[in-house]
Amino acid sequence: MGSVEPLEDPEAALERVRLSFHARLGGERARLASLAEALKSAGRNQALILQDIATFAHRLRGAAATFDVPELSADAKALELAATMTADGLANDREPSFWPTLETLSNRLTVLSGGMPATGTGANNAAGVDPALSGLLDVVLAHRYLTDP
Amino acid sequence: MQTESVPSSPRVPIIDLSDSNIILLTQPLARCRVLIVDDDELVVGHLSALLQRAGYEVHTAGTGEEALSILDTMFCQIVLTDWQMPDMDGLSLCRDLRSRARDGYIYILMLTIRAGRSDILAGLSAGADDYLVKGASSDEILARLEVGRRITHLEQALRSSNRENRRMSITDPLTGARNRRCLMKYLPRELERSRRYQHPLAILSCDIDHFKRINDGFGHDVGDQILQAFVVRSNGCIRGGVDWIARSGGEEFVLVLPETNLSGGSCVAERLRKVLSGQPIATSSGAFAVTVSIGVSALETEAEINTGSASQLLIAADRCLYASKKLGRDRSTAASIERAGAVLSDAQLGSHSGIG
Repeated sequence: MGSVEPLEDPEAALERVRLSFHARLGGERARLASLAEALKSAGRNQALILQDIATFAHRLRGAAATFDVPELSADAKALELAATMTADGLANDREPSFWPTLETLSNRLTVLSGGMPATGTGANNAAGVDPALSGLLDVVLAHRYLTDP
Repeated sequence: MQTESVPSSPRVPIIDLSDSNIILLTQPLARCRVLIVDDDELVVGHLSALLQRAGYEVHTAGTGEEALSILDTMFCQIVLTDWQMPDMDGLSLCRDLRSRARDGYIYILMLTIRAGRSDILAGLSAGADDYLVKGASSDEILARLEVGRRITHLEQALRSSNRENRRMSITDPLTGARNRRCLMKYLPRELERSRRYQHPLAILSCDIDHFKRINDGFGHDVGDQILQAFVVRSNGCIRGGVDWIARSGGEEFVLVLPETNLSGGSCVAERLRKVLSGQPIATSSGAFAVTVSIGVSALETEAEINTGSASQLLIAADRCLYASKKLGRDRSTAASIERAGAVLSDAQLGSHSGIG
């Protein structure tokens, strides 16, 4: 990184960074999907992938809090915890909370980046919330975060 | 008294210990340099814009290692660091920063998503001064940084004041030469160094001739100008950064010449004598022809270097100085510490030896 040149318009810079964060969320969703795929086919390397997921979630959790998106931060925190616990052997990847937690975060990222969440059926439905209601809430939240300064 | 110049501003405080022990908060805060350490570029971008808007000079690093590398080349008053980062995390960064002596105190504000009580304790015990959880409002982040700015500013003002006090404690305020306290403290250290490297050490004991007449006849102001001019001319005769001059009394000065033997000391003494007598000193009451009497002594043989003391050296140089006075002033006399007594006796008896 290095030194930062003085900004001509700090307000514009803050807004630009905030928009960049939201623009990044689609990429974060893709990254999470890629990590999930890797975990499914990891075999004996599951612990390493779980650690990567925990790191990914931790970083997203901090960034979301910084950019004032608390629900995303909370979802990321839940996944970070689940991944860490699973990696530590306190649970395993078939533990009921892990995949729903991952899917909840994935849905949140999808909505915030302008897409529609997976409806989530059966075991993948996050926390047993009604899929239609969950999706609606996400859309409402996303609208709020994307339009509020 | 010399004071350091500080940019003026009516509202921001600084410490000033010049007149009393009371801390006067009247001086401005300088621009504060903050190093943001976080591996998320957008978080860094957000914090950078926020801090720049508040008037901070911002630098950034993506890891603890990179932060240390920046701090090795540039002092930053405040480090705003994340905890979890690749290479070196925030805790290790805090510990490292606290383990090294630096030009000034670095105020560390840890800004992390870890919010547990044990996390906060771990952060503070690693060396962070303050701890903030990500998601805190911009106002709170800036308020906490302002605390850091105030504290580091006070610390720097105190450090600067201590440096100035130390300088004043070893400096003669009139002439800028070192004072007697400094002479008595640092001459033995010069001697230790001579011993360690088996190098000679010479000193010149100087006394301005008939100085009392100038002081009594023309006033202390003129006398002060003579003393100042003497130091200026003396400094022109010695090696900068190696030799040094101390005012040991009213019109008495000692020049300390490391790595110089008796012969070399005599050369410097003669150069100084000629520089002084060669051109009158201009003062507010006109020009004065001024001369100086000088005594030179040195430790140069192995035995002298290994067994001689600073006080023996000073006494020997003083004896040579008295010999110069006895022999008519405006001259230099040189002798080893063993011979100085005899030289003085000879001078008192009217004969002389070793007179330059």
